Amino acid sequence: MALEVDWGIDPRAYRYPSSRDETLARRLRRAERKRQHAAWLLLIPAVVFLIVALVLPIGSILFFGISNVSVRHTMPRTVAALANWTGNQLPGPEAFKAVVADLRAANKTRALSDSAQEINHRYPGASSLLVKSGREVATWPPNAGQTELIAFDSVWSDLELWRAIKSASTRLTPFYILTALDLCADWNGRVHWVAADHRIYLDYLGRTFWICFVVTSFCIILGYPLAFLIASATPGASRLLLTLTLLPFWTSILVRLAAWVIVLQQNGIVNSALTTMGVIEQPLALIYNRFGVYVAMIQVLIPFVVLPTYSVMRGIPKNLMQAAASLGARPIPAFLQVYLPLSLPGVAAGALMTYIIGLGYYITPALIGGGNDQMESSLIARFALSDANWSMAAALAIVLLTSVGVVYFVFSRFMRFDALKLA
Amino acid sequence: MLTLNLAQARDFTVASWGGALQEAQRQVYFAPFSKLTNIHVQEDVYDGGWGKFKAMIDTKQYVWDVVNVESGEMQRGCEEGAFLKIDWSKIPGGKSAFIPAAAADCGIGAYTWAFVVAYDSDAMKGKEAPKSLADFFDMKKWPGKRGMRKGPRFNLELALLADGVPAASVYRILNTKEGVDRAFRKLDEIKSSIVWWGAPAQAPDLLASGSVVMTIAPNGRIAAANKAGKHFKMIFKPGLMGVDFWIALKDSPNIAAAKKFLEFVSDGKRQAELAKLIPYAPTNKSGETYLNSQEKETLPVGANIANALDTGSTEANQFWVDKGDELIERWNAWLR
Repeated sequence: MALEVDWGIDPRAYRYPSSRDETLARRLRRAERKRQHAAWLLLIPAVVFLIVALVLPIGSILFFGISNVSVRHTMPRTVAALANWTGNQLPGPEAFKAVVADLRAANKTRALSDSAQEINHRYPGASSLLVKSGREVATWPPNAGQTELIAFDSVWSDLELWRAIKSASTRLTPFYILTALDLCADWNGRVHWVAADHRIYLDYLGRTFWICFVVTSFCIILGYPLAFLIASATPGASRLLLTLTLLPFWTSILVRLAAWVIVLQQNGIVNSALTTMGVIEQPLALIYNRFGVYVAMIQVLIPFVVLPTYSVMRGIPKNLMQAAASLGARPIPAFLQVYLPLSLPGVAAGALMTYIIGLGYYITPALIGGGNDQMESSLIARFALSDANWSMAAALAIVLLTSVGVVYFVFSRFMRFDALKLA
Repeated sequence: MLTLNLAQARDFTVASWGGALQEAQRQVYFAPFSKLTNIHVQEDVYDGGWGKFKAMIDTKQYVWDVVNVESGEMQRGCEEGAFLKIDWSKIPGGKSAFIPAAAADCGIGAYTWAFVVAYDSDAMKGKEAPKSLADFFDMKKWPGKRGMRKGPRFNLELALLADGVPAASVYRILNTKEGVDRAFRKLDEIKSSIVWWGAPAQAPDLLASGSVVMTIAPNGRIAAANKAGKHFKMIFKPGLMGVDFWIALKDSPNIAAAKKFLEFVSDGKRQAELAKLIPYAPTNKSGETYLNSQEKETLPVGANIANALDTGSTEANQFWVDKGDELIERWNAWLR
């Protein structure tokens, strides 16, 4: 007798899909595609908004950092005359005539001032030379050129000046980005470091990254226990602690910095208290130095670590630690092997946010720090607001943005992206 | 068209430096001007530099009508054709009624200021008090921190003045590499003790809190602190002087009101009233007649500024336009 088992199912039903099943599968796929299309369509307004409000404006500003804006428009004859100039010796008389014509046309306009500045970045002294010459050429005969210019000011016979004009007349230029990295390119295209007593930008960049690293580390060290406390407290206490953590957000940062000045200054609260208690003889230097910058920045940036960490910790079941204990783990190994890895995504998100926000800080070091504590953004602010040198500001911004991108890339390789939880 | 109409709807706006200075200007200029002409004066704060002007000129969105600027910006705006050319025939007294440094093509001198060495005489009780700029650099006799304004401008000039260079030669010497090196060498003597201030209001605060023993400061802020009860002393000589200017933006929609305002603030008596509130000296020569001798002692007038270096001269501004970028780079490297 053959062993026949009645499973109650018809084996033929699972060999090929029937015609009714086929339509169902196809209908399912079509519905799925429609849902995906709808999802993409919903995304389009957000993408358009991002492009119009973020990418285009910031892109156009950053373009200043890699382009020459003024000379090409103000001195077209000169630009044309120098188009095929090799730069190995002084240009011919047509170039001088072209300069005179351009100066005459541009005299007393905003355009000449801007162009003069653009050339001055490469050749200090060019600004007043061009403006002075512009005023002078108005009195010259129409075909004035080389002899008159050099007679007016012998600087016009300096090859480096003409090289500077040529460098400022191209559409795109690497000059500003190179300067922002303490580099310069000589006429043959060789790139080398600028003179030692002019090297500042990489220092600023390095210092900015270091300060943010220290601040982020301490924010994690101080913020993790606070988040743990908030997550494991009773609901009432937890709400109170959360409010206290968020309270500083409601005060202006300048007010907070002014408060730190009062607390940390030489006759301030901390020093007075320590001196009265007899702990110290001379007041400590707590402000206008790196220590003050760290303290102020940590206080401002701690909530950015506490909040994501807390919200992740809230999702960790409270009985996990008890389960670990019941399996024989002592408290510290239990914490290290069970709780910490689970809370790490929140810490990672908080650390990333704190670091990137900290990179943009410059008011705190400006008010609380010393001369050696200023950060990259203060350079950008000075170039943009005070000097109106938007090319340099944009170049520095490009450098900072790229560095942030590199940090984020390294970070996301280090920690798997899907492990990051921001809320 | 719409934006043009919106721009017309803006109030007449004056921008100045904020703080004690702007409060005094409000009392002496803005409020009386409003009362006299029925034009409401909207105030704003200007932090210095050219960035804001460049943005306004490039976009043709003029948010200010009259601004209280430093001489560098006044000259730049004049060169670029953005500031109104002053019609001196309409100003009572004309150019000759003003000190030479204050009668410019595109600006009327608002007040004369000086950068002084300031110290707290209460803190110096029983000790010998500093008497000159050279004492600012004497770390042996007066150990302790020094306050200085951020940036190379004014500080390089002060260093050369303290090193004995006469005021007339400072910019000529600074235009050479040896001159710049000399200025930096002098500053090296106090470099490790310098506390840098950015906003002028910080300088008297540093003195008051004892954070510094001596500070370079604008004379007006120190005098305002003295009015509030402090006993700061000022050393004028040798020092820096400058004139800040009222300018009008040529293409602003409220240019008619701006012209009236410029005429209003050129009056010597009113300038003297400002000097009584905050000791920035009148630029209109007739203003001095309204001051008594005690006031003239703490003001940048007469003997106090006789040999001071004019930081707003064409020579000075041209120097900084040319060499500013380079020197700022060197300055930041030196700060390391």
